[in-house]
Amino acid sequence: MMSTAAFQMGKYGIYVWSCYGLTMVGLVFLIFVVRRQWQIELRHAKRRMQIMEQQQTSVSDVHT
Amino acid sequence: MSVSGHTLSPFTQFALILRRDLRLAVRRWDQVLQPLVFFVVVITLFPLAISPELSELRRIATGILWVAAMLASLLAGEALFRPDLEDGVMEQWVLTGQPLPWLLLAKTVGHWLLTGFPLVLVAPWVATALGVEFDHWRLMILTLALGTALLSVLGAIGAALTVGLRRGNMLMAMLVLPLEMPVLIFGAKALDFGLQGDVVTGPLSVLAAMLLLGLVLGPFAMAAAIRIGVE
Amino acid sequence: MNWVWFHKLASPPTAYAFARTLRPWLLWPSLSMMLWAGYAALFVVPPDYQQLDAYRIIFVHVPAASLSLMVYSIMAIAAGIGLIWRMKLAHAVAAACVLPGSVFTVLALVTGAIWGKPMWGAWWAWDPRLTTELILLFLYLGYMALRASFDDIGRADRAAAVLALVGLVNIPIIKYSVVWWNSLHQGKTLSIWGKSSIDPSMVMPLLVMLLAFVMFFGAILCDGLCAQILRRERHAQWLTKQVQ
Repeated sequence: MMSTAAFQMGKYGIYVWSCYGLTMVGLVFLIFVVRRQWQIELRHAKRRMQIMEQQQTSVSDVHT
Repeated sequence: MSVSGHTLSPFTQFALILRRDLRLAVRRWDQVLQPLVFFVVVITLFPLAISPELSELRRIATGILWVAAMLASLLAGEALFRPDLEDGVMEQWVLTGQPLPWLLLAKTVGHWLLTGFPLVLVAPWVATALGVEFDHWRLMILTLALGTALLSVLGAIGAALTVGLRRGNMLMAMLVLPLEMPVLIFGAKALDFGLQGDVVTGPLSVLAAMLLLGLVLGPFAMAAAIRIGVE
Repeated sequence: MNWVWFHKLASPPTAYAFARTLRPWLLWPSLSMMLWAGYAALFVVPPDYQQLDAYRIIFVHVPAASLSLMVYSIMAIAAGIGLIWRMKLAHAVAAACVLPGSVFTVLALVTGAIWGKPMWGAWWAWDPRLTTELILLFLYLGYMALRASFDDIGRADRAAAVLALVGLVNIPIIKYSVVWWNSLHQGKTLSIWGKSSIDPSMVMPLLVMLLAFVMFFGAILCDGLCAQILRRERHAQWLTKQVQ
């Protein structure tokens, strides 16, 4: 069992825990923001592909 | 730059560009005066903001001089390549396969002669208003000459990078000022040491070494940036 | 030596597929290593005799600071490769480095400041490491601002590459000048690297944390690189296969 003293770390607990907390926030922020960038680009790419396909089929309709 | 069929030597090219820029500056002499006036105006701000006591100002005089010189060089450098880009000179240089880094070095030297060097010359007089004795004029001219030359090179890199952009001045300050911080550190310290009667060779030789490095590598960075701007 | 694998990897479709496969293999091990090292750093490692428990901060501060510099070097080298060999993928790598790099720099600054409060009695001191880190943040911000001010992605890539290379040459000079400048001022007694003997039990968690940060950056780079590749390969045929 861990005692509360291990969490308080004398008078330094607040500094140590805020550092670890902020680092975690920063890293989690990175994971989500960069993943979101990728997903947005992916969505744009998919939409472009769909438009291109539609254009191709409509062109072939005209020819037949 | 070939005139009537024969090619000019690199040194003639260099001299021609320098002479052209100096001549243009004689016609637009107010633009040469502006950085100088700006330098003096910025220095006037400090006594107003801090204290009129000369003893207090003397302590921070070197810092004031260097910050003012940095800001003046930054503002003057912003328009270094823009006129030549707008009237197509840069495009000609790139298209005709001239040694672009060399020509841009000539532009930078001309720019320093017009904006940096006058500032160096007035600095000892201005410094007396901050409580620094005039006896130090030799040291002051030497350190500021080395330092402002390096500021001109770094400013020219920033100017080349932002040359094609419409609102480049704030951006250029953001790019160039962090790179100029070592100049500020060594320049101000060399001057400080000199005023206190210490040996100045240490920071001064570092300043000179940085200037050499800048003169050798800087023009290539400028040329790469100008090629992007010309497109 | 056979360079075929390199040319293959440098082609956008292969790099895209490779990054997608690699990402989970970096992210999950990295996160579990962080958990272990964080636990060890907070509860297992004995307190330092001089800095007491405050030194536990270095287990996140040092990896963040090392990564901030490492990512800048990777960014500048990738930018240089892109500039010299006109390689689109290298520019994509450089573009994907900026955001994680600046986040690591901010984390190093913030944790350094929090460490400084109990140690120096102030949130900020002009300590050489912190000052260098601050200038590094300015370099990242300038790079971002320059990249953002071009409409054309190809020009943005090359202009930003020139700036990154100039910055890379300048970083050792900045570092040296700041250390020299600071050594002239006496008064700072305690450095984050303290002269106090390093307990051997703290080496392992620190190394594991460092490795975990490197792998974490790799995972982030995978996602960022995929986003950048998609942005640069708008009309490429291979996308149809990958996307659907």
